[in-house]
Amino acid sequence: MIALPWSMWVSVRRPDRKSVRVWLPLLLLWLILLPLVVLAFAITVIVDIAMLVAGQDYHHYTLLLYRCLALIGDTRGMVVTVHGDGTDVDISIR
Amino acid sequence: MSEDRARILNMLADGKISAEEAERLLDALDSRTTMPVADPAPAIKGDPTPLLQALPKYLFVKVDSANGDKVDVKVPLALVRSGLKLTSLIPPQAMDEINEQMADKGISIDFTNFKPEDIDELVAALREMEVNVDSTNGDKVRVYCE
Repeated sequence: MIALPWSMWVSVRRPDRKSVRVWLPLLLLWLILLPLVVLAFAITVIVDIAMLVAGQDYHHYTLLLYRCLALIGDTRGMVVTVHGDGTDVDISIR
Repeated sequence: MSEDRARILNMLADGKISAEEAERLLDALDSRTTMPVADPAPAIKGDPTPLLQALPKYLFVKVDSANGDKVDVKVPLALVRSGLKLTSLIPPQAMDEINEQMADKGISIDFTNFKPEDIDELVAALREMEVNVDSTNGDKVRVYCE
């Protein structure tokens, strides 16, 4: 089961300007993209079956798509912090 | 000194476990290796192997530059593992092209030879990895796993 990241915090602080803190609900993005992902899975399954029947050695496009989603899911917990020239940038994926 | 014993001592030296926990682990290790039939109550119930082989969860990259810039990156090791597993699924034609491009850049890693068991072994080996770079101009880079 893939657990996709559900939110991302981006914080930018600059000394001479107003600091910006943005919360991005990635969960909504995944909900919007869900029909496309389902469609992509359906296509890859058909392609894989066709390639298997055709005797091709490589027929793992569905698994490849699944692993791509798993890769996105595994970004959960990533934190990037950059402090320099008075500007602080924090990015956190949850 | 056995590998497990050295690992426990390293964990103690790194401050990942307390002296008491290290003692219990060493006792458990002794009880496992020497098979004491007369001692019915080991220090730890069950096999301590999973505890000993607990994988690190995050890869940390910390950069402190001499001019005051700081970069901290915390990467889940699951991401590294997934990325490596993904490489084994890339279509062969695309993989050949990737290998060629990387060879052109001077990186000669053949990703077609990556096997799932190698990936797990690689990630497990990261537990012992620590990179410390202190440059002459004061820049410091530290890469480690926890």
